[in-house]
Parts: sequence; C-alpha cells; structure tokens
Amino acid sequence: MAIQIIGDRRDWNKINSNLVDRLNKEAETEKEEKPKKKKAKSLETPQTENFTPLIVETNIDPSEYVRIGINGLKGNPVLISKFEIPSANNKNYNETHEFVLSKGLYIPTPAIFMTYFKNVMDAHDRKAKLFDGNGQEIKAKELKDIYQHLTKDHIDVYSGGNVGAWTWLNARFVKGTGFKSLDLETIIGIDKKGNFQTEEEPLLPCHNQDSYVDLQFNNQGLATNQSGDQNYKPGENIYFWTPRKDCVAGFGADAVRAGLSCWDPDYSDASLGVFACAEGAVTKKSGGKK
Amino acid sequence: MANDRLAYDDLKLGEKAKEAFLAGQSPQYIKDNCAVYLNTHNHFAGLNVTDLAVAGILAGMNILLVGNTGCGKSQLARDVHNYYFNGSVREGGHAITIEGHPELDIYRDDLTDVDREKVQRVLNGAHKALFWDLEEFNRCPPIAQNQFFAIGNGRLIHRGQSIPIGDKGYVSSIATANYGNGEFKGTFDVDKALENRFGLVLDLDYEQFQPTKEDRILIAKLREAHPGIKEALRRDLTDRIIQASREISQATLTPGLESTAVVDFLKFGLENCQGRDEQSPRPKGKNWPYLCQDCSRNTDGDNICSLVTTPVQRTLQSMTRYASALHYLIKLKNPEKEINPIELMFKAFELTSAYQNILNPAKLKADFGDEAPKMMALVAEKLKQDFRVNQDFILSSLDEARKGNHAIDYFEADGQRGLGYDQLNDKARAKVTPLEPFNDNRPIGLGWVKDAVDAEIKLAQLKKKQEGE
Repeated sequence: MAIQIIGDRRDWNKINSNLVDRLNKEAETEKEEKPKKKKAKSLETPQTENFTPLIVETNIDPSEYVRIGINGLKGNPVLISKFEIPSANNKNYNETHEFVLSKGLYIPTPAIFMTYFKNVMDAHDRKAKLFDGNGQEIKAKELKDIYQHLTKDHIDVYSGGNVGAWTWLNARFVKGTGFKSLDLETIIGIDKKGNFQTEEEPLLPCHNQDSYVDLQFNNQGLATNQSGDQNYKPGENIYFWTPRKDCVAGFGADAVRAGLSCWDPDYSDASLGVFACAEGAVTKKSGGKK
Repeated sequence: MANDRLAYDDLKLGEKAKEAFLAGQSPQYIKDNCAVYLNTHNHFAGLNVTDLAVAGILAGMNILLVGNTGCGKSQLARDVHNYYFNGSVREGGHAITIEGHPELDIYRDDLTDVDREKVQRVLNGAHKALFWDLEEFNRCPPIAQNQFFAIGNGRLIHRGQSIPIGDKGYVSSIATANYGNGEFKGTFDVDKALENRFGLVLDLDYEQFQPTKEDRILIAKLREAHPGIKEALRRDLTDRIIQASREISQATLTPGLESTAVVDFLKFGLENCQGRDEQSPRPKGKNWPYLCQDCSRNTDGDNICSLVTTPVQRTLQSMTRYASALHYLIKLKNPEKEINPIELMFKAFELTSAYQNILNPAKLKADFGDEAPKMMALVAEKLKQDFRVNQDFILSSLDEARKGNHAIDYFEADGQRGLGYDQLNDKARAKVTPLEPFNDNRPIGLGWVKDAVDAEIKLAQLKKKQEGE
C-alpha cells in the first residue's frame, strides 16, 4: 500500500481479484458436479502458527479483519474488522444494518464482539496471539492500537470528534419470555423488499444492574458478574448497562471507560459507526473447502 | 529558545491568556506574557478557529480575514505580528504593517527610502519582512489594490527587477477587510484575481468561525477594557516557523494516494459537464453556470455540477499545502491523533476555496445570502460524499497502477464487487455484471481515473527502470 504522507489512516476497502479466483473455481466445479450445500463447521481455536486459511465469501481485505475462533451467524468461522469499517457512521441502528448487509457483512453480536474484545485483551497481556484473516499474527504496534481503541480514547476512526471505539452491536431487546421478560433479536439478513430477517431467542440471565463488570459473559455476550472494583481498570473490567426493552446493544470506549451499552436505536452520530463481520469456510492446504 | 522545534504551546495566542486566567494569574501577568486573540471554537480534528489561521501562517500562505468591525481580525493579525515575528522590521523584528487607504503607495511609504547621493528611491530592506500585516486592504481603490498583487505573488518588481519578498524562502501575510453589504462606505470591491492570491480566506462572521460563548465571556475579563487593538508581547518564533514551513512544504512533494486522488477528483471531476451533449460530456465552458438553469439534468437547481466548478491550479496547490499544514498542526497539538486523509483534503478544500470564484454566484446570493463559507461547506460535503461512494474503485485502481498494474475492469456478483473481469472464464462472466465506474456520464466526472492510471503506470515503470539502473 502506498505511503500516505498527508493524513494517516487508510479508510477504504480495496477491491481486489480474490473474487475472480472464487468465481472461476465455482464455475469449473459446476461443470463437474452439482454444488454442495455449505455446511456449518465448528472451528478449533486458531491461535497457533499452523493457521488454516479461510475462503471468505465476501469481498473484503482479510488483513483488515481478525479471526476470533468462534463461528458466526451462518455457522462458519467468523472474522471481525479490526476497527469500525469506513463510511458506516452517521447512521441509526437499522440504517447501519442495511449498510453493512449491503456489503455482504453483518454487525457483530455481543457474543462475537465481546469474544473479540477478550481475545484482544489476552493478546495484549501475551496470554494468546491474535491473527488476521490471512493468518498473519497481528504485530505489536497494531495490537496496541486495537487494544487502546477498545479501552480508551484512542483513534477517531471517522474523525467525528469522539475518540475511541463506538459501535452498534447486533442485538435488540424485545418483549419476550427470557430473563427480564425479554428476548434478544438478531438481524441475520435482509430480503429483496428490504425487510430484515431476524432471529429471536429468550434473553439469558445476565447482570441486572448498571455497574462495572468482570470480563465474564454468557453465551449471548452479556456480562454476568459485577466487578469487585467499581473503578475503571482497562483490560480488567468494563461498564455494563443491563438490557432494557426496545433498546439495542452497543459498545463504546472513551477517556473515561469502556462499556457494553444499551442504546436508543434511532440515535446516530458522526463518530458512531460499526465493526463488521464476515464469514468463511476453512480451506485445506490444497485449496478446497473442508 | 533552546529547542529548535515548534511546540503547540508556543503558538497559543489568547488561549494561553485564558489558561493563565483560569489558573489564577493577574491581568498584569496576562498583559505582560500573553497574546490577545481568543477563539477556541473547535472546528476540525481538534483544531480550533485560531489554529486554522495559524496553520496558514505555518504554511507560509497569504491569509485574508474578513468580517464585521470588531470581530477580531485585526487583533489576530497584530498578535501574529508581535507574538510570532517580534514586531516591525524597523524595530528589529520580522514583520511589517501596511494600512490600506486611498493614496497608498507601498513602495514610497514602506519599502523604499530616498538615497540622497543617487537621488533615487532604494529598497530599505523592509521587503525582507517575513510577515505582512495588511490592514483594511479594501480601503484602497482597485488601482491601489494592484500593489498587493506583488505581495500575493511573493515578488516585487522594483526598477525592472523581480525581487522576492520575505527571507529564507518564507513569507506569509494576513490581510483584513470589511466585506459588508454596502454599510462600509469607505471600502472598495476586491479584484477576483487578487482574492485568488489569498490561499486561505476566513470569514470570522461565519457562525462556525465565531468564538465560543465562554471565550466571549472571558475576553472581557482577561484584560482591562480598551476598545482598540492591543499590543501583545513581542517574541521571535521565526526560526521555528520557517522550519515548520519547510517540513509542511516537503510533505506536499509526495502527498500520498488518497490526497492525490482527492485533488484529481476536484481538478478533473468538477470540469465535467454532461448537460450540453449527452453522448460526450465535455469540460465546463465559459458559459458555466448560466447554461445550468436550462439543463435537463438540473431540474431542481441543486445538481452538484451546477453549484461548483473546478478550481484553478493555484487554488489546488493552496489546498494541498494547507492540508499539509493542518496535518502538521494536528500532530503538533496531539501526536496520537489519527488523521483521515480524505476528510482532511476535503476540509482543506472547503477552507481554501470559498472565495475562489468557483461557487455558482446566483445560488450563492439567492440561497446563501452571499455567505460563501456556508455554501462552500455544503458543496464540499456533497463532493466528499460522491467521492466516498466511488473511493473503493478510484483508490483500488490507483493503488494497483502504482505497482505497475492496469486494473480497471470491475464487476459485481451477488452484491459483491470484484476486480479482474477480464480474468474471469466465460461461465463465470455469465454470472456477473461488468462495471465501468470511470466514466463522465455523471455530474462529477470519473473518466480522469483512466488517464491517472496510465500516468501512474508510466511513473511506476520509470521508477522501476531507474532502480534497475
């Protein structure tokens, strides 16, 4: 990538020829056999040098994404963008979903995002390594940027005036049968008429108070334990706003603290954007899908 | 000054007085140690309005401050004169003040003295001033204003010789003017060509450039009441400012991929006019924007191509230089601050181009009450959005071109965009839609990208050849 002298950050998605290889391969395969339906695969923890590359179904630059070791909404290994993706700011919750889905991506659920968050904390503490979508280990300088972006006022991705991570998450708390009589609604797609396709599941028990919490999360990515220290300790705790009906989840970090929040879905801001997820299938060394 | 490198703290004007006041310092301390002009209105990437002017000084640009009487423009110029450049050259400093009036003769009054032996006027050295404070310059009639062209061009013509003004490759100026709507009886119109010499024009009456309420409250408390221009402490920052200016200038030699793309987008994209000939869009002619009112593509009167035309080369150079200066100052203020180059370039465009005769004058008057900064902000935002929509195509192709690859064959498949249509096999091609983003059949032309790709490839080949040798 050419060095940027005036300004710093690359803020665009490189359109590359990755799609060409995939389309050509698919076309060749179709000649020989009927296409096999993709099957959800579980994924072993990828934190080793023997990293198996992914074929990502969406046209992204894998080096801008991180593999976090869990499967995503479609049942395949999920990648999450290192930072908020370009041009996704100034949009409310629904508009952000539309924008992200139009790119073949989706908004991370709290479970995906908080896994990413914990992976970054672990990598920062040298308990594990963090790998990008190409299987390259994230270098120390970039890891530090990501860590600081998620824990304090570091990097204003959209130059909107608020520094630090600020992202919607894919979770709306609606009236239901789960904890606090709420269900968790996840947007999984959009149909041709522009209607969201959603999935609902009962809200799992989670911490029921606005306070600092430990980095312990239930399967829906929501905090479970109040922190013993009610002061902000970057990398050790976050502030948690307990779910409220008709609110949506979000994550933010600034000079004061980092927190998993509960927001008005109609809000928008020049600095509020979104991280994004892509999914892919694990390849064998020969290049075929597992 | 022991350290040769500029620190942001060195450049604070009234902000330093405000800080001293809030720290409990006395009015006498503030008077003896601080500059006066106070405007901390946050504008862009952590820079306030004072910083916008300071960036122009660091860039060695000519700045025009316009606004109603009492808006602070003369105080800002005077602070720079004293607090950065140690006052007048006649008193050992590096600045000069010239006040506009109907009989102004800069050569006679300011730049030359009589040599009694030669019986002629000779340069007195004042032309080497590094900073020129041009007060109320539109109080000169147009014929006298012509003298300012020399300052705007950075060269004097004296006795048939072209003599550079300033010293060590640096000069900057701040001119002030009242641009009223007829209420200033002693003022004259300013030639558009002269305005073009001012790379940065700030209208301090524009709401986005006005001091914060807190500033306005504190201004009255910082010093004893005195309606005139106040003299700040004289200090000499010239060596540091010259060094900063060199660094800013150096960065413009290789501005980078995104910055170059934005400049070309504005340079060539804004030339485009598809209204006259649907089959082959052509550059906007001298009839722009008069033809726009009858253009079938401009039914609502707000088509972006009807609002703005391409800036001249001098304006684009000012924009790049100013963007570099903003970058420098943002980093000086906060080294950790990340700067989005595309946002930066469009902001520089907005701030340097409002008075460069590129806005549709009829729309400016009718819809914006002649508030050029307001219309410019809207236009710059619209253009930025258009660039953003196409940036992945533009920058992907230019990035590949810099590696020597000709890559403009885009396609779309299942909502995803790919590059390399020509490499698809026939069966794959049948499933995708080829895209041709680089065409001029749109309000802001993108056909220029093909030419830019060719040029970048030639440069890449040349570079490769030179490296081989």
